Amino acid sequence: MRLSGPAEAMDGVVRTLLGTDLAPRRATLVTVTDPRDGGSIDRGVATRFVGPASYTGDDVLELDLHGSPAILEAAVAAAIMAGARPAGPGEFTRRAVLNGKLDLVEAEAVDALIQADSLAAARAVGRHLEGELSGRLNELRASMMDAASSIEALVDFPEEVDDADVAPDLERLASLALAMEELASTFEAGARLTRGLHVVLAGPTNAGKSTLFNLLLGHDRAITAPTPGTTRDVVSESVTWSGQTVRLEDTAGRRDAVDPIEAEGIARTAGAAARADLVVEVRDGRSADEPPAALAVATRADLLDEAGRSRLQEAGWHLVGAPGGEGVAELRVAIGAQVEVPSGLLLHTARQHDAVARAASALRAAQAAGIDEPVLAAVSVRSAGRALEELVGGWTDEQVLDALFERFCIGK
Amino acid sequence: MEHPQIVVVGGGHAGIEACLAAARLGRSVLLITLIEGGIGRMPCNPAIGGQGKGHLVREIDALGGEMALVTDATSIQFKYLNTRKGLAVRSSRAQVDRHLYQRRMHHTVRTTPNLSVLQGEVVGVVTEGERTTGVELADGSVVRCEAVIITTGTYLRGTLHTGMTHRSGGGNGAPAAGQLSASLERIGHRLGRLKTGTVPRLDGRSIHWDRLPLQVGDHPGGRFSFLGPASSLPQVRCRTTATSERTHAAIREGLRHSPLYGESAVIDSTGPRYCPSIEDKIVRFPHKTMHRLFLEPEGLSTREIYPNGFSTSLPAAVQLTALRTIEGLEDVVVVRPGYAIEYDFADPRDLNAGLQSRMAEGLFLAGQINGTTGYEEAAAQGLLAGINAALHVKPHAALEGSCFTVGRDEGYLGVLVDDLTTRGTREPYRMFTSRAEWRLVLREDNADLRLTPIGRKLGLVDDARWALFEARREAIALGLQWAEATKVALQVRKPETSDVASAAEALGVELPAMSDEVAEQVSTQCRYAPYIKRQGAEIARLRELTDMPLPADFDYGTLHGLRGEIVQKLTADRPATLGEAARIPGMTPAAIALLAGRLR
Repeated sequence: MRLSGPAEAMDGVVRTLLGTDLAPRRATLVTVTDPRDGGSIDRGVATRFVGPASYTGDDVLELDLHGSPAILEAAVAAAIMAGARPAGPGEFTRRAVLNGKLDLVEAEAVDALIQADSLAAARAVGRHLEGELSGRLNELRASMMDAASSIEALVDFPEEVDDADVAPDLERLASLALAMEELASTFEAGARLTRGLHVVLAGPTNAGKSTLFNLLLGHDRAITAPTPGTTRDVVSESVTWSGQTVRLEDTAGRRDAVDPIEAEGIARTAGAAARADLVVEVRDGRSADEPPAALAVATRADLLDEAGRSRLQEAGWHLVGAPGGEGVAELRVAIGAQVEVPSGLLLHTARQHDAVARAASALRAAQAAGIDEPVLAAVSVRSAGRALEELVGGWTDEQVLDALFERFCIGK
Repeated sequence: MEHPQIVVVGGGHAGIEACLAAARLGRSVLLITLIEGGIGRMPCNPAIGGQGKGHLVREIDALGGEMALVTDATSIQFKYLNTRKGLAVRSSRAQVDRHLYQRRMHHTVRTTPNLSVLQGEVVGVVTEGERTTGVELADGSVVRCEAVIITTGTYLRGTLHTGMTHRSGGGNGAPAAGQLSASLERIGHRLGRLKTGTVPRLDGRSIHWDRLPLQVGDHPGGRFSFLGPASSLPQVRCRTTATSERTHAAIREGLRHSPLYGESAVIDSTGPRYCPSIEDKIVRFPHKTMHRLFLEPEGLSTREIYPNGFSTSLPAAVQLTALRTIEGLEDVVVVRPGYAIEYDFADPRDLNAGLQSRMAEGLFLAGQINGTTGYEEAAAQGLLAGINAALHVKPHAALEGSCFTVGRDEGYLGVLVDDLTTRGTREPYRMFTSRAEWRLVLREDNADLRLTPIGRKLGLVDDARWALFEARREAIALGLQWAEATKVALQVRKPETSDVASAAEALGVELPAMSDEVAEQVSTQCRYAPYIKRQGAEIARLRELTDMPLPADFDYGTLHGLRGEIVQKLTADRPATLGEAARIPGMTPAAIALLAGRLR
């Protein structure tokens, strides 16, 4: 159980609940008492963090108690009696942002970490929490600020600042724009990582998609039958393979539909395939010829003869056979290998992508205006600055002036 | 004499525009100044305009003010700056004949109806309750009035420094106003200290002109006023020179006698970063091997030269030694040494958007006393304060409320007053185009289109100016219609055809008859249209937040997570909008986010 609040309020809660003062940052064995009857609720370990050196920036109290719902409920009720109130969703992180402990990019990383269902996603956004993304954005912003101050100097001090003084900064606009574009382009991978790899199994009816789906999942999720058109809707399930989340979708097989329900199912297949990161084409091995996609699976390998197997393998098919699960482990690896996990920083929310993309396009406009129309360049760099401000805050026109006076000896 | 409705204290650039505007609006005005002959004096360099400042001068003109007209009549050199960088930031600057400028201003003040002048020292503002009722003079007499505009510039507790010599004074040999500071403090105005520097004045006959390069890029025939005409005076050209390592060595040697850097440095107030003294430049930018100087003539009938770029408070002997290391100045004779001046300024956050005191109704402050620097910034404030004092005395039927303001998207005047009254300043505030978020809209060339209709409504724009304006506005509107209809507007947005003439040629359409000025307006408006649109969207997004109203009875104490001191400030200041709240000193972006969250 975790409590956060101003020091005075926390003093009251600690005394009422624990009947003792706590030394900061020292895990202490305590008895939690019920203020209503003075009776003991549980014995546990309490640690108090004194703001601003805490997660929220306010005072924080952490109670480790025995985990029964009854104890938890009694402890929460006792804390409320002592003057606390239940926290809203994400309120601790919001407090941390309000108190300047985290910036918004870092707060988004906290959210993504909580949502993360794979180690790869957790690792990628964990770096953001350590400030790597904010650091990079701040670095880019500082560089933009220098460029902006140069352009402003050129505009506002025409008799004292020459084109040559600011040319290097203007040339930097192109590389800044490129850096922003590169960062924006990581969003696809970042989003994929946090929501998981979206894999769709597609193919004609009765190709064995649902059987393959169940084999890949490791349990019977989809109904399988020899009747064509058994699967009518998109069936979806998430799994984690070697630290990476995969959302696997089984779909209705493609054919001329026999009824409107199946027709709708087939339309949904097309939709799922269009949204997928990866479409695995599935065919019955007995009638397969040339692989229709980079990743194509020939099913019912157990029913093929040796010649048929090697013909398909040479053509590039993955062979899978039920019921023994032949080739399934290899297929999982092959699916994972289709999507590389990038090693650099990744944008992982649409908000981040939107702001960085806007900054990039504004910087391109600034670059195009360049030294010939510095006022348009200045206006555009300012737009880029405002866009970045939405992520890491703190771009004011006054700061541009500050940077200007730091760097240029100006004034008659 | 019956008592005047409005008293203006100080006859500098702010005071002049203030009393002319109020008098022209039909109020009876008394200008009280220390030295009657000093009305319209230019204590710094004899130049008007420059980046951002030129914009202000045109806005003053568009509103029916005086500065542009007098500058045009007395200018001896005219220059457009930034001619290659786009019309949004093209600005005008004129060298004027200091003597003629002052004489002409003086004459205008002395011949304007409803306006009289009294020589004297105002030592206090008289208030009854929260209402201003007059001023007290040094001889103990009281002039009763309904509104007071204080425009005393740097004269409040002014201290002049030349090396280790310090004396009290208001600059240019004028006495320093003393007791007025105390009077403002009694009313509740917070005072601070600022400093500014001046340059030594040189005898032009002792300069080896033939060794120095001429400054290029004059535009004879240029003018500030939309009314015209341009100057008919003979035009002069400035020459430039530069400091050298030898100059820097001489200045470093003299630094221990500097009131700023010396062992017993006495100046600790803040000077402007964009107008540093020569010793500041050498200390702060040690890697620079030279600094440019502009040798500007003070007028046609004087030999005095203003070495722009050499402001200093070093001892006179050090100034001379350093100057004589400079090319062309080897034998220079100094007429008057440079000095630094420290003075009181009143925190402009104690004023409302009409430059009226928040503590005393009917008391207005304008000009350098509000922490600005520059004639243009002063004059612009003076004009606004003069209009508002007039409205305070008698509200205007056609105007909502009794406060005249200019929006940040309507003029640099709006940016100036908004910056001052909501953010305050820590150094002498100078206008830059980069301070304006709407800089593509706020251009010198369209100041009349932005402001003359407002000036007309107020009653400051006479029929002659209005007729000229209407003809111009009509011609531009027709030009724009034609450009849109013929697709010339689209063509102008391409970099290769940035004006309507070449765009028309590229499209093979015939250019209708229009003056160069109108063609330029049409070109610019077409060219900037997409940028202005994007800028508009951004600012609208920002506005949506900043204009979010904060209810007057909002209980800030109920906001969880707001620090106690911020709750106190918000409760005391009662900002009307989120934007105003954001500008309260000490507000954090997080606190604003919290407020915004609650209001949504």
